[in-house]
Amino acid sequence: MTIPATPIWDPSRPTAGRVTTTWLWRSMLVLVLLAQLSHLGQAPLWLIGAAAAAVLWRLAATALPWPVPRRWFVALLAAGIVAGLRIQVGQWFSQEFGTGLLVAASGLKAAESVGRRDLLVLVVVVYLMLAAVFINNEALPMAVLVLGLACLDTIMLVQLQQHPSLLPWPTCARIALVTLAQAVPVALICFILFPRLPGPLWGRLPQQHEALSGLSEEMAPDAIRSLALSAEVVLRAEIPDDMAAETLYWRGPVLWDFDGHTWRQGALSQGTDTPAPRTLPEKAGQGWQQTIIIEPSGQPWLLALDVPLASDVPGSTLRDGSLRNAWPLWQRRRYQALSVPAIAPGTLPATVQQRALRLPQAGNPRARQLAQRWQNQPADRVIQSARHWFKAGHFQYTLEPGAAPTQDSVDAFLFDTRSGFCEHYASALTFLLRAAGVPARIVTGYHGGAWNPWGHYVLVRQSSAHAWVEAHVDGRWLRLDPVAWIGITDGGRLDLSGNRGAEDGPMLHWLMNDAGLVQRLALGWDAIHTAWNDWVLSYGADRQRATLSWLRLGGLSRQEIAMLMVVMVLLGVLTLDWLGSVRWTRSHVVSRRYGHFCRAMARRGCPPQPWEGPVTFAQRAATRYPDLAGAIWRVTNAYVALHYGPSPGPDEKERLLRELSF
Amino acid sequence: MDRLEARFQRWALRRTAQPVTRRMLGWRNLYILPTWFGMVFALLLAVLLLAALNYGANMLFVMTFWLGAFFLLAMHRTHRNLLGLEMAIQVPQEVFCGETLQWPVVLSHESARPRYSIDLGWTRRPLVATHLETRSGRVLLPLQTSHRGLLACPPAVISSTHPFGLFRVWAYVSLAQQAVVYPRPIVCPMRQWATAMNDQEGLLTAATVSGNELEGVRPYQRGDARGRIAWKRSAGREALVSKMMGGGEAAGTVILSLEALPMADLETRLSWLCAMVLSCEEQGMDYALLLGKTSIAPGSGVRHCRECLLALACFRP
Repeated sequence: MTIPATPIWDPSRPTAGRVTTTWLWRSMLVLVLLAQLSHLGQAPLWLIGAAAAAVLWRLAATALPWPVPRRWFVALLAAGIVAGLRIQVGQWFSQEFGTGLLVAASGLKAAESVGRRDLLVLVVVVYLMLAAVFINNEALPMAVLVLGLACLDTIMLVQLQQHPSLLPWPTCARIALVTLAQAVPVALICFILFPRLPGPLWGRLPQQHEALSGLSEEMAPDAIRSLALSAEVVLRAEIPDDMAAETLYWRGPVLWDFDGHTWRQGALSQGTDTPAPRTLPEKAGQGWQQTIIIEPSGQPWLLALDVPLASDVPGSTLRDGSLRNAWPLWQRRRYQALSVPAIAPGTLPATVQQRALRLPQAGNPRARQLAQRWQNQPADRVIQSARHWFKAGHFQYTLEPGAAPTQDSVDAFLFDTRSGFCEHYASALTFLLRAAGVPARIVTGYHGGAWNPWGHYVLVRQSSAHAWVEAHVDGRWLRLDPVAWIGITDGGRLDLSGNRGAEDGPMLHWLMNDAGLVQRLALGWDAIHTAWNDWVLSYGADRQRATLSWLRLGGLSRQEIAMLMVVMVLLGVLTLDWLGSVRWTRSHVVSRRYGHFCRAMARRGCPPQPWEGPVTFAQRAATRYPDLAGAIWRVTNAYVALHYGPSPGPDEKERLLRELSF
Repeated sequence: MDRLEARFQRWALRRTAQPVTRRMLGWRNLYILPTWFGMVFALLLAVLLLAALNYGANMLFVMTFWLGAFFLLAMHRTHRNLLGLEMAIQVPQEVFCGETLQWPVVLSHESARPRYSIDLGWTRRPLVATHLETRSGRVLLPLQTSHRGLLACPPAVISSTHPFGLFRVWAYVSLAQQAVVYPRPIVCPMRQWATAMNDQEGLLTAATVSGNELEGVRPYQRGDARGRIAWKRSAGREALVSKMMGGGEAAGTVILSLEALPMADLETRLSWLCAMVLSCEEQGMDYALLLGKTSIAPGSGVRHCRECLLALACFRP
């Protein structure tokens, strides 16, 4: 017992306890600043600015003789910020309001912080603020950033607990990072096993609604055009390899009712909403099996290849041949669907037939006149005629057709402008077919998609939004795409972007080209992004069920899964703890060998007593067993030298360790 | 809260064995609970979990479970910081009553893992903190004294919140160790003592002083009291010289007797005697001590002084 341990602090100097250094202050404040900045794009800009300014003030006060703001001033500032936030957000108790408040509070707390306790509060606030980022943004880069900042926050936590003279910051960082790394497998167990709910606990996050774009249940003129210019991702899907991009029709809501201006889904047709079968056929080849990750749309539609037949989503239904979820999709969702080339044949009920033929009382006289010429022909002849008429009519495909008249818009398109995009074509064709006595409806959805060779999936963006026509011919619904009739496919739009690239010069064209570097990098990045979405973000109730059945745990109830999780977590923690202690004690040969000696003596009937040191014990043992005295003293001296003495050189240590063996 | 803890401490001390000279901190006597900050952290976890469930955001789940696992591991880390530590308390340096006793606490362990931020105290509030980067170390744990006598070491509280401050692990360690606390030295304020110093009537008085006259000097011998060294005369010489006092052995002896002191309560008289012993030692006089049945033969020097003070500390009528 020769090594003196100096007390790190003593009661006569109470301030010498866990003190905070300027360096610690600065790093904590910078961390708060970074956490605030990670809310850029989510919280109002002025709010982040104000909070950051408060932190910067306090940061400056660590170097300059600036005062820490008074309490009343901080309170006044807080009131102002709350009022401003209320005006901006428009409601109390919303997620946006809460997050904003958190950011503001971090700034104000930082500004008035003076002691170690304040810093601890800031550590917790930073954790909360970082977590709040994930409510709106779970993208991979943001996740990496936020988790990295959480690591830094934990390092700060360790440093705040230490007497600064004790642990240099690299040691603190090591302790924090090792513990966080050990936490990863335990967290993984929880992540896989923790029971997931299919929907939110409370509140349906209405504020997300406004931000979402996509198909809706009505089609006003120009509705699809606004989508066509958006590069937002709609879905990613794994589909059978042999499908060509032109044949990919992603089916969305079906529109029935036309008022001369807007197409609407209208009321539910009787008998058309049936539960979607959840059992997917075992054999491939009976249809197109797809695994789809759909982005939140605020709509209940589960897009799938035309025509979906079954899905693994509980509670999903088939309405008018489209797959529909039980409630709107507020979260990214992963599901499987099975599609077949055509809807099963069957006669239309009278009410549906009536609905599929209904047109406004008046309007579009020229179109009606044209349709009347085909009226008494069979349905397939009508379609044939319409097709010829479109082909011969010099129609143009453009996203800039100019403003459509509010009256007789179908006439204007068919006979005057003859240029438009899918919406105009589908609307006009349906009108003609109905006027000619062929039941028809409009299907909205997406057409095509970009194949990603890295991720082996198809990426569909809003710009692929499309509308086509379904006509009821010979007892079955037949897909008609008038845009395809005039020789324009989705490729037309790709050409558009290609032209744009050409104007900017050949180099840029090469970069932006389909096979160009940027495109490839973009596809590679999207593949990583998709894997992230697929494996982490869309791990919900369904995916969990699939994983559990893959782990042969499919038969367990929710309670049993929860029990299993608790047991596994405890086992995991204990294992990690045990591994940690093994690593530390394995190297310690000295105690083990001396312990061996003590046990050997105990077997001879002379155990070391608790009050005895090694030397006292050796004296007693040597007196009792004079014949062993030499060995006893050899071991004891070696032990004393190794355990209490100054640390010996390697050779010396080797010799002493040899002598320690009894 | 404090009363609850006191009850818990009594219970915890009862269930460990009789006091021994050293105690190993193990699963049986280490207790662990979250600190206030730990509870705030647990609240944070609950909030995160609620948010994750409501928003169905998987990254919120990831963060919750990650920090939750971290919380559990932090508990084990804190517990491991004291686990396997052996605590012993050595005999402290004697002090006079009212001074602070410094109990040398020896901490040692067998593992190669360094132990950090170990707090020691007599109550929940730590008085000193130390760390062990080697396998053993010693730290002085202060204790304010208020009574003379043999002082048994009270149960100590060893605790740690290392490394995250989320949990506090602690143990009550009651070790069989005693310290000697001398009486508080108080100079007798009464005239009787002052006159008694000049009284020649021997044992009836508290002290008998003689041989105060300087007869000469002799070379310094080991054991000579500091007050006896002739500093002025030593100045010009190579070695120290000591004063030679006149008078015989018996005549040059002060006899300090408890009974001879004026009426006062026992502790006060012991305090006076203590001051007298120190004063005699300071002046380099020989002195004897009579305490009831105990009597200490005349003498001087550090050992003699210590013997007298020990007798005073342990005296029981």
